[in-house]
Amino acid sequence: MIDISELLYSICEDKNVYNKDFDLIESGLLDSYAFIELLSKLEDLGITIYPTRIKRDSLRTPRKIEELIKENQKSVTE
Amino acid sequence: MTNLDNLLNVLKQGKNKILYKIDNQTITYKEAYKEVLTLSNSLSKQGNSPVILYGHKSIDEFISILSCVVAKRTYIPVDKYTPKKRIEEIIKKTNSTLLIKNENIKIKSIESLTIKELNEKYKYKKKKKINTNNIAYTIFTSGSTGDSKGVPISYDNLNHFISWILKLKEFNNCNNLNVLSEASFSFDLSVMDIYFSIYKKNTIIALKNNNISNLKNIYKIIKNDNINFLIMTPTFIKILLTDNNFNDNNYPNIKYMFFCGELLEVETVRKIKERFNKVKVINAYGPTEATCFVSLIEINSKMLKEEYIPVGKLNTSAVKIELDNNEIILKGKSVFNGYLDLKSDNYYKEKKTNCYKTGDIGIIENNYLYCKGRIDNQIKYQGYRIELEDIENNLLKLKNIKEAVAVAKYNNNIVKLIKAYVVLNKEMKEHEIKKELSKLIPNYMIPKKIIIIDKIPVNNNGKYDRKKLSSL
Repeated sequence: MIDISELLYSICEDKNVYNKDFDLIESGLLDSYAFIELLSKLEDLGITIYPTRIKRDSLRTPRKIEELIKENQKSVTE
Repeated sequence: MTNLDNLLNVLKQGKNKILYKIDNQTITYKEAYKEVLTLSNSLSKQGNSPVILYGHKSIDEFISILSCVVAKRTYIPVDKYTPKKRIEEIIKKTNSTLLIKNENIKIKSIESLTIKELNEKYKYKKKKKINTNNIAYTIFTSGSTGDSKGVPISYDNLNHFISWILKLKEFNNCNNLNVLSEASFSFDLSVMDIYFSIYKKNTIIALKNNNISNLKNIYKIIKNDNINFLIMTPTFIKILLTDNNFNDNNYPNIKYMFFCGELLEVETVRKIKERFNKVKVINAYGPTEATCFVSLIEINSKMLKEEYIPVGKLNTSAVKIELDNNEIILKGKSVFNGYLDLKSDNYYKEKKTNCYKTGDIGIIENNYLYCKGRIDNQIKYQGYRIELEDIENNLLKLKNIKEAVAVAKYNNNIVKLIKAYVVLNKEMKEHEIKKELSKLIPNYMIPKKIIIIDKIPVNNNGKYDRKKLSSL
């Protein structure tokens, strides 16, 4: 299981990402650069996220990103 | 007759074609003609000072810009995300007497009216003398002193820019296209969006908020509005490319991708070419001081073998481009005539020609221009131009901060994030500093991370060791 907070910390270098409900978008932490890096790092781990398919706000908090990854893995195994 | 003198006619000739679309609201060329005619009349009666256009991307903000051009009043686009203190500073510096309120704001120091209020108030007033002002617009950009810096662009500059882009063979078949506009009006890339589109009879499809929380909507717009021409920063295409479905099978209408505003990486273009076989990729270069961009080049596969992608060809540039100790110097008609309120050695006259020392490090090879970074502490972050000293000087304005250094952290020549190191007089938390700072500078300039330390390291010359701090 991927530790999303660790992954986010390696990108944003901000301890707030360890708070699962921290608003990454409102706080500006997940800006365009961080977003590109997040998707590319997930891809390196074998998880492909398709922004054309995800719901609005799916990336707003670490918890939501975790859920998105779970859903993604579920759909791959199904 | 200049292109700008002919603006109303161009709008009229566009008839019922859609000129601008945003959030499912549209305005045709003919409707825009009528609205610009009315508003420019009111503006002529209100006075002759510069006009602050406060708002975000909207039909009203767009109409306000065109109306100022027709009424010969300098327009100053100020985005709604600008802190109030900066807005007040801009009003003072420009001696503006009018703010067009395309978004709600309470500001006492200036007459603030919506378009509707302005038209009603000045409907029966007499017309004042014809304006003889020669500045078309002033864009405010980050300044190293901690104040924003006004870059006035004259009608001559803008006319020269428009005539030049209309002659470029790269844009020969660019009429009647759907153009995606990503940049806000306070960012000079929007000058391309507006004038290129109007004079080529295109339709502008504007994105209001390219916030990644609603990316799905951006893809939907590109698809459903049959976008043919994208005007954007390299950061923006990198976001779009994160989805493998963004390719020519799913988006067959995309014909052109136009880039300006920051370094375009070889890897990015390679990815584009893999996904969009036939799309023309155009890379452009130019600072705000020289009206949008001054050179451009269509990228072919041969160019992808080099480390850097060229930013233009010397023989088709809008101005004369020279190198002085590797610094790119621009000389010609689209170069501005100096900052609004600041003396600087960066601009000078050579005989009667305006010249600008860009601070960009350039290389010229086989008639191609390459740009390889900066000679100073200016950075490009997600397309925004930021002076690191601007952040530092605003940090120093906060009561409890004794020393401050801002540094950029890079990844493959691209700024990954901005960090600041501060020494405090009295305890203050990181989030409190960020909150106070947000009252002074726009959000994109606020360091992602503010590190509180006891002493800032200095190098052998006694100066802050930015290199060391940047690598921490």
